[in-house]
Amino acid sequence: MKHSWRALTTVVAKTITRGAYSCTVDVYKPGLAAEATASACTAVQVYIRYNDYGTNRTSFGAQAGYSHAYAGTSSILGRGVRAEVASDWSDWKTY
Amino acid sequence: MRRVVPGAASLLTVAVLLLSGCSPSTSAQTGVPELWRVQIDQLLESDSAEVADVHREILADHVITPAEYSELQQRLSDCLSSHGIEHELDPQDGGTLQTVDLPGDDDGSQTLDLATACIDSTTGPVEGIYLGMRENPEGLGKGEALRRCLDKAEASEFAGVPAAELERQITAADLNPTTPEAKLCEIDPFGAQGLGLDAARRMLADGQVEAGGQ
Repeated sequence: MKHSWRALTTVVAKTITRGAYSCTVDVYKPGLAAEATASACTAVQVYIRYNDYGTNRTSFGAQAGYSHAYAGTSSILGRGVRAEVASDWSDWKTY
Repeated sequence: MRRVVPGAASLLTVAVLLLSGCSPSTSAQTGVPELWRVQIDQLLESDSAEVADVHREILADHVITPAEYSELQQRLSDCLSSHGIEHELDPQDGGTLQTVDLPGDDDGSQTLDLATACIDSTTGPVEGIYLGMRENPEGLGKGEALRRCLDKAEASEFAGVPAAELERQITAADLNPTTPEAKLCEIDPFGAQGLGLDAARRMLADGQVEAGGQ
């Protein structure tokens, strides 16, 4: 099945909701990192969880228009994103 | 109708300013771009529990100094330590934080909840504005920043599209750039993140991989 670029890039958009408000962020899974751009939200924050030789760690990116966090090893356990919606932060949404 | 004598209004304004001890040139808000002033005012007017007294004190003059941000980072570190969470905080990298899961917290949820609460009660609402103001001191809107970036990069995509239309597309999450140059401008319009065209190509490719998995 052939996809257009428009459809392809829409796939990585996440709608973040808090109460009656919502906005959209674009999230990415580059190799050993987590990345997100706020897109239609005010700010965004990501985290990436990974196992570092038996110790589980979480790296958090900054709260900003673009947030990125790097894992120290290739044993990725998960990624999460949240966004600022109507002056409050949403819950974390894993991706 | 009351008749105003020419010049009387301005004299009255000066008198009021003198009596109140203020002058336009010394106003704390002078020079703060509208974009940031509005966001700060929203926080100051918010009744959200996430906006603590310390945040209101820092934001009251619409200026966030590096020292004030450093103090919030120290509070974040103290908060994590009080919960016994081992951590590293990189003050040079815009608030990058790394935590180690608490003993026995197999899925990391307890550590995540505690770390999130610490972030929100310390650097929380201030960090995004502080980093944003540092990156975008002019307070350009997203559409205007993107337009400038595209023009500077001489990107062909979105050529001639006005800033207002770009702003509309960004707000509607409907921009969807297809070239690395435009993608890079979307992600990092001020060139402040140290990203390059390779990162933009990879992000475009990530979208392709995700779609292929559907």
